[in-house]
Amino acid sequence: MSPARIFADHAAGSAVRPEVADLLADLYRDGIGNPNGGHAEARRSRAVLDEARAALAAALGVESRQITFTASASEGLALALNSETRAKEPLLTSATEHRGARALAQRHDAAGGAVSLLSVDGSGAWVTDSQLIRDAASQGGVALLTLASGELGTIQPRADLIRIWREAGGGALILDGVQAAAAAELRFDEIGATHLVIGSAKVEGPAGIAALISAPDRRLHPLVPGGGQERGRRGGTEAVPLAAAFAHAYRLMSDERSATQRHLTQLGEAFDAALGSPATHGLIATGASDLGARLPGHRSYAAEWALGDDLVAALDHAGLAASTGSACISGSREPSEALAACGLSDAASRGGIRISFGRTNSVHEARLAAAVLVATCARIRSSYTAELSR
Amino acid sequence: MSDHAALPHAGLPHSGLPTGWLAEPVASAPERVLIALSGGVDSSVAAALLVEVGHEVVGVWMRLHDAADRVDGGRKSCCTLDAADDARRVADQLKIPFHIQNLEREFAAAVLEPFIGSYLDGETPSPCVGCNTAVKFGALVGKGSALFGCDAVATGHYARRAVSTDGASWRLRTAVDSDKDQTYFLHGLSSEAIARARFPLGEMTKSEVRDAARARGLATAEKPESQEICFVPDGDYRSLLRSRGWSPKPGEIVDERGEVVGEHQGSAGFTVGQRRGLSVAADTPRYVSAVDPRTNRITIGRRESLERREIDLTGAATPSGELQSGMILEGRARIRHRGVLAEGRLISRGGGAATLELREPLWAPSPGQTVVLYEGETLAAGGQIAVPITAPVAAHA
Repeated sequence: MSPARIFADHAAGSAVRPEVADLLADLYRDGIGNPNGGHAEARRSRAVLDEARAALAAALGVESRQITFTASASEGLALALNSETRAKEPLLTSATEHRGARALAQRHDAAGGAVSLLSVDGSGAWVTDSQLIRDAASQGGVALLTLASGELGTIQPRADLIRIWREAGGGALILDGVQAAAAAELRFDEIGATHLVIGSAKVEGPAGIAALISAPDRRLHPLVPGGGQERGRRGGTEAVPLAAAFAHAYRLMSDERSATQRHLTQLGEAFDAALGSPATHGLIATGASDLGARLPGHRSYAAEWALGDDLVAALDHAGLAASTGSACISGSREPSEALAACGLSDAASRGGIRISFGRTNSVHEARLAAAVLVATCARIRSSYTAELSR
Repeated sequence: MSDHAALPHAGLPHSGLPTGWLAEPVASAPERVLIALSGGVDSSVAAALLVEVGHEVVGVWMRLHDAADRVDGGRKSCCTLDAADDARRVADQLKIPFHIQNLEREFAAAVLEPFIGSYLDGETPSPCVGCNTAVKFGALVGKGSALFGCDAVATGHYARRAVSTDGASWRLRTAVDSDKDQTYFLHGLSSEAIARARFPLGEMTKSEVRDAARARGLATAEKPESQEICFVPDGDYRSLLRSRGWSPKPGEIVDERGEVVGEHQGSAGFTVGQRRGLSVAADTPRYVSAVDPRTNRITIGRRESLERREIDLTGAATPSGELQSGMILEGRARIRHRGVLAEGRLISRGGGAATLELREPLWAPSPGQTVVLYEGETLAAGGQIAVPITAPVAAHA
């Protein structure tokens, strides 16, 4: 294995940045624990939690009480959906949603609710000029949608969809902003969502914490009943150090967003230049081709001649950490539903691969990553027979 | 063809290497080796040994079928998510890379579908043979080379290798631990496949392997053996057949004179040599002696009536290829894993067809099962027991 590895799977989650890791260590060392209690120690923890919530609220343009901390973005989405859906009402979602959202839609479907699948164009972008949206909205439906696809890098035309949804009298709009939050400032009041979920691991904070931001008039029905924590919305002792670390990471990310975006754009350009035409290497570029409609530093491809998992394994062996972009069970050869929805062939839908750079990558690494991808594709293509890989 | 007096009585080595064959050389230079980790103790130790002698080792767990989506509290199979987790833990302990490789398609084509077809044809398949030949030492070798640049594929099988004195061909050689020897299941490997195979446990006994795992603190050191066919989790292959559209139909059980003595609930549920499940009253135990899916009839007989001195084979081949017509190989044959070894000779009729003539009879050869023939410690040839052209019952002829 190559001694110097390149980590290019930031869309799956980045390492905790050192300032945040220091804060976490300090909080644990200081004995920050259960914030619920009638003593000074609990009050000290409560103050840290309150401060974290307030900092996040300020960054998102909401009141503290609108924020519910959850253990993951998936949990936040489930909590919002649990609070908003009634069995018979339609649920609008898209074919490019990540597995967490799709699983929730499947559950709604299994419970007898109708699921409307918003179609996407070849880049994975929502087709917003759609009667489907108006129908689901006019029936008082709920929408569960992701603002930017982690798999395809496509940033969705959210303004159009939200306007149509609201005009048609749609119900709750539950948006996953996990990938989008790092790409552009998310002000809850400006978006027009009913609920918005953001996560910590994608902003160089610790995994195990996320936030659900809800409109002030919404009541949340807890998935986990408990001792009244999180204003009765989520049982269980709050993970105070994680919440504080998340808020700190989010603030750092917000402060540096413009500079980071410029850096990621440079990384993407350096990568593209070193890669040349994807087709030369047997790769089909997936997601938005317009870089302005794409998460910066995010590139995705599909190969018809290899399984995505195999490409990832070979790249890993060559020292490049990449991903298929569609998290799934170990080694399953299920095609990616997102790639299939973009109109890719069955073979290409099994051959998805994603390179996602982060703040800590260098331009040199981006060029090197392209070289590794080129060499790996060349090796596999020359030695794989179609029969062997398929 | 049944002139057994013509068989030589002496000159067959019961151990050692036959003339013209050498023990495999010890690898002199480090190689990049892919190890197929099952999540069991054997492949774990095999991986550890490879790492310790300085090879660059890449660990791979194969996803072969959707039993992989199950978790197994009982830890009996090599093909569940729990097994994958154990394999990953061992790779982590050994500080080697670990990947899950999807070989479902290859497995379905080479193992699962033939397995089902074989049962429906009244045979008793040997799925592990197809898996070793086509998947582990077939598709996996190709993937290991393409994805990781591995020159060789290692497994935790108990087997050794022998090379011809001119270095041009390879054979399997039985493991030191004759109780654990798995060359029977590996017989389909070609000379080229054997050249690229590595069996680090071939010189060890099972208890030495266990001890080696314990001494290294491997996560799988105390894990029990897996015995069942990995894709038939409860050992219930009849329910697998049913899930593939087999609907059992009652049929006749006849004795060797062709007289109906009972009824069965579906002939694909029976195997030659089987005693259980026959609801037939008789003075001495009765065994299935033939299964005929065309007539849906099962023939039973006394134990001694299932003894055979001549067994017809299909797909008979040596590691270097098909046997030419008229070729005769002498040695000791076996018709089941760890089964009795009987002296005999294999006479080829070409096209993979051959007859095994035995000095002493072997009991209950089951069509579809593997036959192997050893020359000394080396596996010289193998094939499958053919479905008898004429049933042993005169009434059928």
